[in-house]
Amino acid sequence: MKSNRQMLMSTTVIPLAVMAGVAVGGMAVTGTLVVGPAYATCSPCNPCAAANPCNPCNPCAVANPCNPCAAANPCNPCAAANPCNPCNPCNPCAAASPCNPCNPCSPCAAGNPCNPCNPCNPCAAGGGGDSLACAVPRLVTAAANPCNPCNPCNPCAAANPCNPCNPCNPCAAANPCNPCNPCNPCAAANPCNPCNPCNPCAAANPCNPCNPCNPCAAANPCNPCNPCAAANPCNPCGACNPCNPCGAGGEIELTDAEAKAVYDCLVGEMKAAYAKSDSAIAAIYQGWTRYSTVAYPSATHGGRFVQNYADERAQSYGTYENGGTMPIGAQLAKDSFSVKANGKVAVGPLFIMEKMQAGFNKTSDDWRYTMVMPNGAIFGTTNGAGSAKVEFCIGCHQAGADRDSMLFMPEEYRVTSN
Amino acid sequence: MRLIVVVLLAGLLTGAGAAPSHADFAAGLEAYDAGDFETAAAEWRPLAEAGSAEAQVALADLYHNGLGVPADTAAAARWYRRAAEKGDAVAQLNLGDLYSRGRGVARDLAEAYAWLTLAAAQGRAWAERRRHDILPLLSEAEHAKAEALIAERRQGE
Repeated sequence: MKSNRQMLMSTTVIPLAVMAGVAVGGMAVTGTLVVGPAYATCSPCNPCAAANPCNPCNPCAVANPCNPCAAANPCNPCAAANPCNPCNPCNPCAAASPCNPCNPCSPCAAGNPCNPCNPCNPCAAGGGGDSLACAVPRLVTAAANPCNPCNPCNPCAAANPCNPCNPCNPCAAANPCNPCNPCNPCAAANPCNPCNPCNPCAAANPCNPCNPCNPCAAANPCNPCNPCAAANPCNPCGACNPCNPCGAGGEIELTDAEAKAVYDCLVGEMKAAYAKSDSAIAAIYQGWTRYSTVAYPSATHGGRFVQNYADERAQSYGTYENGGTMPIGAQLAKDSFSVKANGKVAVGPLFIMEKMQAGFNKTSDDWRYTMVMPNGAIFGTTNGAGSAKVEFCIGCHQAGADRDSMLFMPEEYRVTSN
Repeated sequence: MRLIVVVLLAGLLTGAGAAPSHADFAAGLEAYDAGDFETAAAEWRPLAEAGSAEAQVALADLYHNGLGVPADTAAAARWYRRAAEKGDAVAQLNLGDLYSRGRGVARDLAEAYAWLTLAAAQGRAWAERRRHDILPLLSEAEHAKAEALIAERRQGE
C-alpha cells in the first residue's frame, strides 16, 4: 500500500496534478523557479502552508535548509556544502546521526561546542549514567536557563542570540534573525544576514564553525592557528582556559556545603558501583576512618572530588607527613566523583593502596595499587594481573618518596586529632 | 625467499584487525586517571574496535558517564555487549544490570537474568546477588527465555 507521499510523487498522480493545475490557473514563472499553480492562490499567511515545509507556497520552504524538500535543491548552499548539516541527505556523516559514536566522520560532535552531542556542551542533555538522584543544584539551575546571563556554563547561548547551534535557546527564538525560525523572513531572504547559518558570506568568517572550508575552525578546533580557539570558552582544547566550563571537570568549584551534599547523596551509589568489582576493600572501606573533612578536588586524580579513608592498621595516616612508614597490611582508599558543568555528578573510580610485605615492589615502596572503575572493572593491580597498566600510579606517587610514597591532601581538608 | 613470504603473510595475518600501534590501553588508563577523558577515549576506541574486551568495557564506562564522549547509555550497552559476547564477566554483569533497569536498552528481565547468570558462573559474587534479586520477578515465560539464552550463549562460547 502506498503512502500519501508516495501517491503524490507517483508518475500517475504528477501528470494529473499538472494537467489539473494548467486547467485551473496556468503556470506562474518567476526567474528560474517554476512554481505550480497553487502558488497563485496561496497566502504566505496561510497557516497550513506554514505548517507544511514542503508546500511550495510556504515562503520559508525554499530557504529552510532543514526543509526535507530543499534537499533536492542542488542550489541549497547549506545542505551541499555543510558536512555538519543534519538535513544533508548526502552527508555520510551527519545524515545518520551526528551523535552516532561510531561515526568517524563527524566533525561536528568533537569540534562544535554547540553540538548537542558534544560532551563538553553544558546544554546538551546527557543520556548517560549520571546520578539520577544527586546533582549540584546551583549548576543545574544555571545550566537549565541558557539565556541566563549569569549562567557560567553557557557562554555561547548567553552571548550569542543568533547561535544557530542551540535549537533550544528561547532567547534565539525571540530573535527575528534566528535561522532556526523556519518562517523568519530576515534570515531566509538575506543570504548575507550574519545570523543565517547558510549564509554564503559566512565563508569569509574563519571562525564560522559551519564553514567546511575553514582550515582552522572546521578541521581542528585545537589548531593554534585557529583564531577562534583561544577566544572560544567552549573550545574543547581550552582546558587551560580559566573560563572554559568544558575543561577538566575538576576545575568546577564547589563550596564545602555543596561538596558535602553531593557526597552524602552519592555515597550509596558509590558503594553500589564499586561492589560490582567484588573487591573486599570496596565493600568495607566506608567503615574505616575518614581523614578528609569534606570531598575535595584532587589535582592528582583528574580534579575529581575525593575523600580519604584508612583502615585501623593505617591509623598513623592521621598524622600525615609525620606518619612515617606504614605497617604491612595498612590499607588506604580514596573514593571519587566528578562534577560536570551542568551540575550533574557521576561516580568516579575508587583508588586503593595496600602496604605489602617488604620486597613486594621496591619502586612502589611495597604499595599495591588498584583502581576500581565505576563499572566494577579492575584493569590492573601492582604485581598482579595487568600490573603494567597501573605503573603510572607508582610513578606519580614517587613524588612522595620521602613520605613512604604517600601524597597527602591539602591541609584545609584534613581531619586533625585535636 | 619462501620463508620471507611466510613471515610476511604471518605478519599480515596477526596484524589484521589489530589496533593501530599507537593505541595503548595503559596510556588511556593514565589519561582517565588524570581526568583527560578525550585522550582516554582516543586510546581505547581503536583497541575496542579491534576487539579488545577490556577496552570495550573501559569505553562503555566513558559512554555511560559521558566522559570525553557524549553521554549515551545505549552506546555503553553496545560496547558491553561486544565484550560480553566474548565472555568478559564485567561486561556481562553490567549489561545484565542495564537490562534489568532498562537503561540504554529496553528493559528485559530475561536478558538481564541470562547475562547475570553467565557472569555469576565466572565467580562474580555481585552478579550472583543481582541475579538472585531478579529471579522472583521473572515470569515463567521470561524464565524459560532466560534459560534458552543462557544455553545459546554457552554454546557460542
